[in-house]
Amino acid sequence: MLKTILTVDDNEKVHDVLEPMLEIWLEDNDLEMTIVKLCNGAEALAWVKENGKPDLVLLDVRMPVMDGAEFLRQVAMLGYDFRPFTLLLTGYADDLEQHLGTDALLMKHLRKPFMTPEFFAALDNLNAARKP
Amino acid sequence: MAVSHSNIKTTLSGMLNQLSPMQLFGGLAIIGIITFSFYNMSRDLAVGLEGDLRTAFDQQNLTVVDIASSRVGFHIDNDVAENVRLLGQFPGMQRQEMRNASRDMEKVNTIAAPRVDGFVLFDANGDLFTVYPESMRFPYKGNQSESPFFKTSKETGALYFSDWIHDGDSLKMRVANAIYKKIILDEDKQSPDGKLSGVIMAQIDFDRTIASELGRLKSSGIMHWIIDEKSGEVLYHSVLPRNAPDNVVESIKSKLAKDLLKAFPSTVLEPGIHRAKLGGTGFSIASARSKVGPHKITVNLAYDDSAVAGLVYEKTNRIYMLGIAFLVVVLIGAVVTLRQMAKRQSLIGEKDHLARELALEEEKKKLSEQVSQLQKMESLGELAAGTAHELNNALTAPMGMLSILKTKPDLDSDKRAHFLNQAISGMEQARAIVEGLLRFSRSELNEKQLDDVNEDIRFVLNMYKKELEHADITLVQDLQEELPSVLAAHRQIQQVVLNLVTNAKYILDKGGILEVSSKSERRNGVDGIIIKVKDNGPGMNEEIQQRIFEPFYSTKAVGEGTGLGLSICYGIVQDHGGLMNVVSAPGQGATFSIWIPSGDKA
Repeated sequence: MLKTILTVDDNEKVHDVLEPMLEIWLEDNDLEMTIVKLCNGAEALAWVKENGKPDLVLLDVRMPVMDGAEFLRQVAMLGYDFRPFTLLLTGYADDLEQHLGTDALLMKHLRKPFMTPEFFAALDNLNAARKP
Repeated sequence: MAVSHSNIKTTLSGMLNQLSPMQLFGGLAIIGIITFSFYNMSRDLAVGLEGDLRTAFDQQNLTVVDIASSRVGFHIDNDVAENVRLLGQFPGMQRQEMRNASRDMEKVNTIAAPRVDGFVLFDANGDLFTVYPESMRFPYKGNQSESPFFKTSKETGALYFSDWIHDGDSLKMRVANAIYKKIILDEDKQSPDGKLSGVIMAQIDFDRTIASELGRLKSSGIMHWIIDEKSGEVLYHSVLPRNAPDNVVESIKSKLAKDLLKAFPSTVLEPGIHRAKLGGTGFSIASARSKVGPHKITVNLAYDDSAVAGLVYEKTNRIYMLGIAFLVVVLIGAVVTLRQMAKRQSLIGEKDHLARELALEEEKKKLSEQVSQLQKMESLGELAAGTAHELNNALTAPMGMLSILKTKPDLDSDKRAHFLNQAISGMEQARAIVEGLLRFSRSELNEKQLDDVNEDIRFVLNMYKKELEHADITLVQDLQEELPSVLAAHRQIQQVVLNLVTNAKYILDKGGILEVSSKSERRNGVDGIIIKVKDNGPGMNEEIQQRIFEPFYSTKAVGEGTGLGLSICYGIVQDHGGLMNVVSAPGQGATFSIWIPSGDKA
């Protein structure tokens, strides 16, 4: 079964960074996954509705049309809980609380800009939590 | 007129308002005291003056009668002397020596001069007036002549020198029988020494002399009269004719004269002032004593007291008038002083008021500066959030790429170059953002610089783009290229644009459209640029439009806005000599326009 990573961010530059980083990480971990680049929550929701549950989600919090929080809410309404395998990406200090409430801090998140080690660590963490 | 009148009224009431009740009472009391004491003073003065005047008047009249009386004596003496001189000059008389001791009148005449032993004087009526010395009363004792020597004067019986007639070498004079008889009176009385060396018989006009002498008395009195002290007989009266018949119809004046004579127990009055009251009117009589030949006489002058009273009244009135003038002057002085005081008071009040106003203005200015600063900080905060996000985004690529290169140092050169290029482009983006920030901070000084406002608009929109995107608001930019430069504090222009944009974001729902445009526009012959910020929000009614630029006017919920943003924007635009307005209607969105004159003004 083909594993899928959803990267949802409105910023092209972020995608430009995420892609090579993810490729390196997948290579390092001997994983094979398809990277799906999406621009906002709405696109992501549409993808989920069509393809079902992805294996990993890199989700920007603030996005036009539909932000990350709304996306998670919509997904939950579809009966999914993406939180265990979702890494929130945020450029704003107060994004998480503002959009997801205080329990968002319990979710895995990464503040932009980030560097490979922390990104990899976060991905490792997420991957490890997902396996059992 | 009415206006000035009311002005006077208001200044007067204003004047009175400036005074405390104590001051007012005090002022009135002082005026009252001054008036009362002045009244007392002038009354005392009037009384004193009346006394003084009366005394002076009395003194004057006494002096007048004194002089008059002595002059009466002198004049009569003088008349006598004149007669003596005339008689002495008469040539016939000198030659007429007494040849015998007969008692003919001729002989009487011949002894007239130059050895004069005495006089026999007659008055105008031929009555014996006086003889001098007393013994001359009897010089003609023993006259045996049958025929009268003197013929009676035809009209009055007055004697004139023409009546003397030459008779041979004798000089004769005719006298009235009564006179003759008088001279020949008391035949048995001898002269003291029995000798008679010479006699002058002369006539003086007593009344005429006295009248001419006392005529001046008339000016100060109402009447005057002369009394023979010995007999108490009225010798002369300026009003009553001598020997006036009883049946003469009496005039008011003659009645008064008679009443005055009867007012005292004796017709002979002591020298000095005497007072009498007749029918409610006061009269004063000045009396002086004198001598006419051997006779003692009293000259009296009567005058009306009312003359003095009138004079006193007149003088007192003058004093009262002076007093009133003085009071008026005092009152005017008081009013002027009061007005001056009131003016000073009001000036002080004005000064205080101005000082307070100034302090308030200063406070207001300070406050508005503080608010402006706060607003600046607020917009800075907004910008800072946007900028931070942008900067983070820009740094995402370099940090990510460089960290990849660090993790994988052995990547092939194509990939390395690609990553490095991406890193560099990200850092360039960061640099651009920092430049924008620098520009923002440079213009912080509010110095006006000639620059393109499009830069300001772009800067703000770039910083705020994400916010709008996230709020799902479509931003439409329509900036005219080659816009004329504007001399402006560009930081402030940015603040204005940012304020309008954030307001629009606040009012717009998801799916809203925000249009920001700029173009050059000429207004009233002045070149300038116009910036429009248009939203398709709910719009606003006329009332809100009218009040929207007022300070502290806000339609936002309490705690969400200060209500100062737009008023500060308005102030900034005005400061740049520009215009700011809003066009809106409920349900039709709102368009805020800012027109600012361009820098290259004529």
